[in-house]
Amino acid sequence: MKKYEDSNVSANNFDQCTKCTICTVYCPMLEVNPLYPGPKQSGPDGERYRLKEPKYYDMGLKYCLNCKRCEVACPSGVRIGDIIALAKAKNGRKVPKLRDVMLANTDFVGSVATVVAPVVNTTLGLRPVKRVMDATMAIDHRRTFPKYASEKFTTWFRRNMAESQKEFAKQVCYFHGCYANYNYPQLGKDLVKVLNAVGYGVRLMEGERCCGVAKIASGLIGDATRDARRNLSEMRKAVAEGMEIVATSSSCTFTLRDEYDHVLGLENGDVRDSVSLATRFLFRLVESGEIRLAFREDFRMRAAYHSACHIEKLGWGIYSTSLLKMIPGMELIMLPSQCCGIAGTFGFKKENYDYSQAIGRPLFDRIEELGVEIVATDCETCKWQIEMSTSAKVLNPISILAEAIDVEKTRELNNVIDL
Amino acid sequence: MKYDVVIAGGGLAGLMSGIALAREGRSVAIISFGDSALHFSSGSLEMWNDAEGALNSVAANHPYAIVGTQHLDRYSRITKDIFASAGEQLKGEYGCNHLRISPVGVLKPAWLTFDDYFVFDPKMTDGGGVVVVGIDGYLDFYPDFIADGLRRKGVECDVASVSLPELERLRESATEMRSVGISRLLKGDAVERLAHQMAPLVHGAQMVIMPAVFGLGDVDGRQRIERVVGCPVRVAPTASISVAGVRAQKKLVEEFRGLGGTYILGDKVVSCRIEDGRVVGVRSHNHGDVEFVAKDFILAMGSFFSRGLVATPEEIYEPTFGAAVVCAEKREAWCAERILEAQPFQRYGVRVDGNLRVEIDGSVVENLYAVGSIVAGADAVKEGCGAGVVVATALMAAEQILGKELDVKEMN
Ligand SMILES: Cc1cc2nc3c(=O)[nH]c(=O)nc-3n(C[C@H](O)[C@H](O)[C@H](O)COP(=O)(O)OP(=O)(O)OC[C@H]3O[C@@H](n4cnc5c(N)ncnc54)[C@H](O)[C@@H]3O)c2cc1C
Ligand code: SF4
Ligand code: SF4
Repeated sequence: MKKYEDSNVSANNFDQCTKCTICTVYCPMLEVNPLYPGPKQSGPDGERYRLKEPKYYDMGLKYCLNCKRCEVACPSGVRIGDIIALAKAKNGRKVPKLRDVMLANTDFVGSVATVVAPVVNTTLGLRPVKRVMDATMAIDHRRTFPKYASEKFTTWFRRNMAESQKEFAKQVCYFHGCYANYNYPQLGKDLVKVLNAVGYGVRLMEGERCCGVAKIASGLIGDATRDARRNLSEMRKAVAEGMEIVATSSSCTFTLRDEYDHVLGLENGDVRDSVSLATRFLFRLVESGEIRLAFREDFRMRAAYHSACHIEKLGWGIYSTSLLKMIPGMELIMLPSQCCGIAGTFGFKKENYDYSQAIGRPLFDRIEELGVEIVATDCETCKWQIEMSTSAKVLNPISILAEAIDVEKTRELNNVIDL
Repeated sequence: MKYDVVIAGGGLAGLMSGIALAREGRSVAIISFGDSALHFSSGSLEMWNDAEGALNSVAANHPYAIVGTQHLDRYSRITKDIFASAGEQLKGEYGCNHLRISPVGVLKPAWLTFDDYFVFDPKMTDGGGVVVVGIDGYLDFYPDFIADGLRRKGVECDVASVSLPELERLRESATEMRSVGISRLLKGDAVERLAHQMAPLVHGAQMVIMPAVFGLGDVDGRQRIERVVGCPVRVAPTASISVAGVRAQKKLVEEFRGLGGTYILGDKVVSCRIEDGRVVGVRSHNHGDVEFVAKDFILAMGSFFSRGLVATPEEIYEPTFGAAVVCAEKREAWCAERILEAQPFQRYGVRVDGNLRVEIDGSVVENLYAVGSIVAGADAVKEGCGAGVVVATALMAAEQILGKELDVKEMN
């Protein structure tokens, strides 16, 4: 017999809302901005009106960070953030500003910037340029910009690595995302180092596109959908070859797994379970005894772990922290779970800068209070925000692992033969 | 992932079991889908609404009968101790209910109450006036009802109202003049300004009662107001979200984590694997093929509100483990006609044996215990035993797993 609740579903569970208001307790934007209508009002409540008449759309929805902390707290499974993201895409400003398009097109802007990296980096850092960007594009001049690398990760990989990777008996597909490709190729190199040491060769997709997280947040749904279709077809190929797909960014992982289906309405059920965060992939292999890790005896680090919003939503912070805790020289402190305020490209926009910093303030204070030099987090935009707002250096857990492992010993433990 | 104990549901029940076990050195993971019913706490853990009696004659299938009423005194002390270590003082003790006040001014018996909440003291009738202070434009607190309730008890009572520019700003948003929004703003200098505004209004009072909006701003906001106005300030419950409940939930989670526990929020247990009459592992929505393996499992998923139980027009069932439930077969029998009558569905829940173990597919599962409001047999509303049943079953299950009685630390 068909179950009653199977025939009683609404988009993103909006009719499941019991009006309990629990979500409003945990929304970071509401904490600092009384002009924001809040998750309940912007999400399920507002949706009832918008369904009747789009004119009920409230411009205040632009403040939503898409951090999903409301969804994590909701006892009724309402996908509040998804409802808001879709409403923004449907009813928000029709023609996005040039600035929003630029900030959202992390791949296009990245590929141009990499070519002229030294120029871009100095120019973006110059005070007068920042002022001009502030005045003409409303990108806040107080922001420090992520640096662009002079050689893309993919270029480095194809030049130096692609051939040797084929020698490994076991293969895994790496979804590097825009950040590892354009801003911080070292992260990709670190992942290759760790995976190779435990006997996995790394493969890239043909023509990987941006996962789309920033485009979705800016309401550029059409562009995001195009990229997503391409990525999905590449992911299917990888899965057909028996590979898992790993990413080093929690936001990419989350977008590929959940937003493609919930926000873009694309069927991804056939590949969803094959997409993993690199730390989860490694943890599972360690736990099942399939691989073993050996660590450098002289490695010492005192680090604090920051649980990024999308890792919180995925619930996967535990894999990163469990791996870090395996390192004998590591003292790992857990930071209170809260939003750092950047929320992807949100904090770059001039009108949001003050909210962004106010949201993150308690976190920054805690980091300074602990006096840690290293903060570990799985999200690249959190890295920008925390590095700009505190004296700590921020590393992805994979980069810390890469530094901590004893490559020779690890290879021996995993019977990796010299290539 | 391997633990000694895995708990599905992280409300009061899951947290009490989890903390009791973690205190004894067990490695425990709690997986909780959403936030809990504690967010609506009245400020009191209710045990039984009849102060003296009736507890010893509860029906044989009532959770208290299964736990054994002789243990309730001990469990109440352990509860106070666990809350105190988490940084939340509770007042009251087993066997002598005090009177708390409801948001609409009804005095109701309660067992343990957060230290900052108002409880009635018969001596108040000859101690001078009480002033109930509301906040302008805040509609979830009803000073007149509270004052009426106290006047009926013979207490002289006045009402007053205060405001601050930052609180006024909250009114710009249609939804934010709520306890949580107000609470966040009560910090630093705002507390002082509020206190100085109150001082002339409450001059000479024996006590001031304010809405329960302290806890998310400065931790000592209420005490600072007390110092300025010169008499005790107590709080009374508000409608909608309970700030004290949010505060308690956060502190208990921190306490659990501090003991080494793993608390995962926003994830749902979706299935369990049973071998030879024992649960071997459970799977969750977010963790997919990574199974949570443990020696013992606790089901603490709450009642209808938290979807630990689901009711459809056809049936009432427990959706996660498929545990057997107690409920009337015919739908007409689920509800009484009048809303204020005792509602039969309140007593519906998961069937447990004498050791709180549940039944799946006709047989008792050796290492799966049910605790909290999901357990069948109690009517939390009519009997006023919501949290009492929760902590009693939660601590009993911990003792079953540990194979020994929990220690009672003597306080004060
Ligand atoms: C609105 C309300 C107000 C109340 N006020 C009071 C009061 O003031 N005083 C009093 O004594 N009692 C009160 N009660 C009674 C109340 O039931 C208990 O006090 C107590 O808080 C219930 O605790 P619990 O842990 O059993 O359930 P809950 O607090 O409901 O917690 C259950 C948790 O399990 C989670 N969950 C459900 N399914 C799954 C799954 N498949 N996987 C993982 N997690 C899952 C839920 O999301 C939830 O977080 C109130 C009850 C309600 C509903
Ligand atoms: S927490 Fe969920 S059910 Fe409660 S008001 Fe928010 S969306 Fe509705
Ligand atoms: S996604 Fe984040 S910012 Fe948006 S409503 Fe939810 S909690 Fe608030």
